[in-house]
Amino acid sequence: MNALSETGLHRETLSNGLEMVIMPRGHTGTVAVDLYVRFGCSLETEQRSGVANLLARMLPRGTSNRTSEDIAGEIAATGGSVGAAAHYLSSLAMAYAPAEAFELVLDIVTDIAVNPLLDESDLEKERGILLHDLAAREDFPSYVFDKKVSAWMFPGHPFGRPSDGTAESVSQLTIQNVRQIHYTYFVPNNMLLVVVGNVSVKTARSLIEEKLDGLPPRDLPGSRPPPMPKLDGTVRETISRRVAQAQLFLGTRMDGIDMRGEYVLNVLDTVLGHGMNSRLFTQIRENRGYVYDVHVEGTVYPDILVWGVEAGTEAKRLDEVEKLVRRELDKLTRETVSDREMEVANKYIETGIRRSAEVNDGLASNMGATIVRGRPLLSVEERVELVRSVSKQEVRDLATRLFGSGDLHVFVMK
Amino acid sequence: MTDERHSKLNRYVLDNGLTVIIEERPLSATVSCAIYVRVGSRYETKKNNGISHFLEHLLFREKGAVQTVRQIEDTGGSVNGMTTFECTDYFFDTLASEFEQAWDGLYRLVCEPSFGEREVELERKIILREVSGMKSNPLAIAYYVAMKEFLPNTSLGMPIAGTRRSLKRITIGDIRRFYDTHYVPSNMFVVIVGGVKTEPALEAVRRTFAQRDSGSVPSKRFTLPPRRKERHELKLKTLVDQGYMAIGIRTDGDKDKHKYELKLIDVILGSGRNSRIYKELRVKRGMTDFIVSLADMSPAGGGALSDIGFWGVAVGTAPKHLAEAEHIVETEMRRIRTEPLSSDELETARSRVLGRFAIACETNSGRAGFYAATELADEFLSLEEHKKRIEAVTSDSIAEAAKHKFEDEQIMLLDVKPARGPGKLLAVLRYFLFVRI
Repeated sequence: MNALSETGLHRETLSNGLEMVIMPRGHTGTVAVDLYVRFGCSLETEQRSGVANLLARMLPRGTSNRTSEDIAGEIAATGGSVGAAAHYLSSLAMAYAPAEAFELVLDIVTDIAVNPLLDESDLEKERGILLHDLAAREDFPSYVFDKKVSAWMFPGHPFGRPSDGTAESVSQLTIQNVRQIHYTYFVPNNMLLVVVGNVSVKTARSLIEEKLDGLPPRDLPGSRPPPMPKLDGTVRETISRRVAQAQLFLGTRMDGIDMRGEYVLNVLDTVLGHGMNSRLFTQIRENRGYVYDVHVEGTVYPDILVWGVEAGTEAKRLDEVEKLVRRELDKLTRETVSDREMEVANKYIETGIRRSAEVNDGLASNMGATIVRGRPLLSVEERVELVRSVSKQEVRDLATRLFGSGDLHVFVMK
Repeated sequence: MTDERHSKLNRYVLDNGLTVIIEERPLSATVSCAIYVRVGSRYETKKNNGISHFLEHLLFREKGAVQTVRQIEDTGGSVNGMTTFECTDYFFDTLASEFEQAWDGLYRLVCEPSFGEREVELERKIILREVSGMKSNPLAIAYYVAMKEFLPNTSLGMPIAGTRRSLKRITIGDIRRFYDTHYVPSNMFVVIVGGVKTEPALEAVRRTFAQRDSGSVPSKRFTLPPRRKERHELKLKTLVDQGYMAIGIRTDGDKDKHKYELKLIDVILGSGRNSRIYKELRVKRGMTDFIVSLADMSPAGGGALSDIGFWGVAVGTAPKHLAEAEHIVETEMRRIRTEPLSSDELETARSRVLGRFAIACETNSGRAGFYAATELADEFLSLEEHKKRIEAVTSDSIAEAAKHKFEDEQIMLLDVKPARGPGKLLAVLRYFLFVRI
């Protein structure tokens, strides 16, 4: 099955290894340009934690062709925006603008990714901003809670650290560290360029070739994230903090799942914790009024899945809420979900897929993230079809694998 | 923006006074729909503070609501509600092909409630949880204190969700009376944007609302806090680690004759990477990443209100940089008043505002939000008309707006720093008092 060819999607790898994906959407008025580099926080050591993020922050600070003021001014004049970010698996320079500005925004995105100045004084400014930012986040209990939960779930592993580093690591990073990452990883054979919007394949392809085909490829170090740390038994931890409402997280880790497994997980999550008719919302909030918010959180990494339920409640209700969550999880492993729940979950997910596909940057970011994670690129119709094909037994099997043993890690902030 | 050649926008007023706005976008597979009621915390007193929000919650709780929400979610949609100072809205997004079923559900949810004692008590518990959750953020205390200071003796100085004290006092009778007064067709409007046909969508609304009488529109005369004749500062020390400040001026909200000029001034001064304040604070000095424009924001962060709003900038930085940040922001505000804009800067600002607007209006929900904001302002506009208003702004009109708005004596400043030493004990006590009100 490949409905993508019907959408006019063009996928090609240039002679220097740069991969490009172009999806023309002539009925829209904008264009999204996302340039991915396959280097993210998962390849950082603890000492260099935050280097990908610091590099991303420095990209719009000027290139050999433009000052930072030029970049900000040129993009502002189009009404669009440009930015850069680092995630666990990749770094990204991106722009979103009215379609008539395509050539300019492509030029800016490629310029900041390929020719950044990486000046030492800019590093100091970005470091100062980042250190302040990291300190300011400590003012927010939900950030502190999520940070601690990740650290407990992935002790000593990059997934257990904030993606933008810690105050200790950021303070020690040097301009050489940043430049080395750029020199090593920001090469065409490690890049993916995604263009989605009102631009023809012919125009986009020829401009991309003109700007990037001359870049020489380089050998890559072949780095991989460190092995996943083992967790002995289940963890139960409490953070003490002055909060008006206690936070609870019950979660688990399991080996990575394939693409079909991700769709099964999506159905499971929807039945359990998305929307006002989901089981957790109905049982804990609607029937008892114990929580304002209860939801499911899951992140699929290449080799591992971290998954859990988070709720905010009164400290005195924590035990009761935990029992109720466990009861709902247990039920999912003992009985298959109803036909009605499956049907509702399918439509709910379909609406989400179709809504995000109506906006060019939503589509571009979905396509880029899919490729970076090594998943096949599917059209909207193929994604909807895949959701519909998930069976009740698959949902129950996945629930059993995830939490059938009842061995869940429990984290509390109160 | 999706191909406008295929879109069709219409506004209707039904016999019972209900306004219906429909934009047909045949290239869209989904639809966004909302029912707006022109009521919010601004219509409350100290005694019933929080009742609009309580009512919004209760409509999702009352006896038939489970079935009704299920009816909407069965279509693949998600449904929710939101209460602000001047309006409450109930909305869903779903597949366009499922519009009618979802609409029937939304109508029953909002217009056919049957309030029960048990539901009121359960929902009261949940809202008290919500209020507590918000108070876990130490900046919340600064926000509430500032609201009382800058908007004294008005309902705008009260929290939208209410206080623990007022929430405990609201009765089912209060809620029924409040509903009967405000939830009448002439005080409501509907917005539908997406892949639906206009006629059947309008017919669905007409059919469901047919039995409802117009009702009389409740009084909308609000007391505004008097404008002060001198600069207004509030400095707080609380349980934060970093420094925060918000600096700005009061506007006349939706009625402000310079509201389009303020949109351009916003991107010139404080919003986005090309703004003067961003360049000064972040690019040149590396002082902070936390630079937020308050333009067009009501005190709650929604759209401007009918007769009042704020223009300003909020900054978070290390406490030692706070005074310098305040000085820079004020200097830039003074500069826009005294130095004429270059034509290049004006053009860039205009393109920026229009480009952002085009991007925001790509989605059905973005467009529905825009139409609702203009309807609430009693000035319904198409995207094209809005664009023309932005294009009509000149450097002279910006100069005139800045001259009137940015005088030193109009400035309001909120400054929040970490409490240290004995002040910390006071801040802790204040915190415990705060979470109990």
